[in-house]
Amino acid sequence: MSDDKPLDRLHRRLEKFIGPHTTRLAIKTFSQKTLGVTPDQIRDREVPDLIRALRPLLRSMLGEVQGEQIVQQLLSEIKP
Amino acid sequence: MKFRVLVIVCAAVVALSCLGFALLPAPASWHLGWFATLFSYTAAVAGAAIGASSFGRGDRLRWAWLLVASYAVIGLGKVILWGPPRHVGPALGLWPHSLTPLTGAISTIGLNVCSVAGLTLFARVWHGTGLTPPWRGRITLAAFALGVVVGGLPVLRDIQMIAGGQTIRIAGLASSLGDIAAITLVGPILVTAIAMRGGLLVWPWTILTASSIAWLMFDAVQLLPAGLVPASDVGTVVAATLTTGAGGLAHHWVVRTRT
Repeated sequence: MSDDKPLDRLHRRLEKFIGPHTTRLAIKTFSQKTLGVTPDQIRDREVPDLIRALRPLLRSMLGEVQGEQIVQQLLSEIKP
Repeated sequence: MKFRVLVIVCAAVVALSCLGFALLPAPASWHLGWFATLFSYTAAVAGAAIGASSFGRGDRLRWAWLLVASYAVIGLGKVILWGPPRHVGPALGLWPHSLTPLTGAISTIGLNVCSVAGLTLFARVWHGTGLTPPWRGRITLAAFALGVVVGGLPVLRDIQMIAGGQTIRIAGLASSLGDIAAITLVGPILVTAIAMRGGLLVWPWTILTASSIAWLMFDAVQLLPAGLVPASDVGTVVAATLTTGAGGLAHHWVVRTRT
């Protein structure tokens, strides 16, 4: 599991809460908006920026505390 | 698993309330209707309060659940004082004489304002996130069109009656406008439930959608044959309020889920 790519790990974490469809839509939308690339072009070192871009969505859906907790956890897991 | 159990318990209570009311002779059926609605409104207050407690002060969904809890408190107060909603036998409440056109109007307006304001906050959950689910605009527009078709005529009728001097119809107008707003708001809430499919958040949003639809069915019950109306009234009120509480509890469970 620890050999997963950071983007796959992010995908798995998110889909537990917001489902696979919205996870795909969110990653696609924010990779284009924030990084200017398609999801398959995201480099591992760009994933933290993508996670930060997801912060408002997670905070709105799960509340500030839980949303921020997930963001911080994802950032710590994805650290190179 | 616990989400499924929650839904099954709600369905079982609704079915038992309806069946019991339909099978029992009066006045036992009236008392059952009263106790069932007392229970379901209490569950709505508790569940919505639990839902609100899951979120922080700055969270939109905290205020959404607090407003839902407020409408449930008003509804519970009405049931305690005046008995179950319309058609369910004589007034069984603790203080039925306090139901006057004015107190009825004030409670109806308060209930509708809190309900619509709460649903509006739920519908705006995507605002500021930078993400909008596909079809959200179109489904909301379609829901609004349906709301106008269903509630347009009663609104015009109420306005005509108020213009003719029957100011007490202001409560009726508030209720009719509330119906249009509630039908419209089912659209974005349903879209959110669909968008969350496959994730834990699908549960609170689907249950909330079911609650909104049950309230719309409560209004539609008046179109049924007279013999079916009382049991259907009990069933739809219990379904709407019980699912309100279940939605709050489900939201709490999701937010407290460990990552």
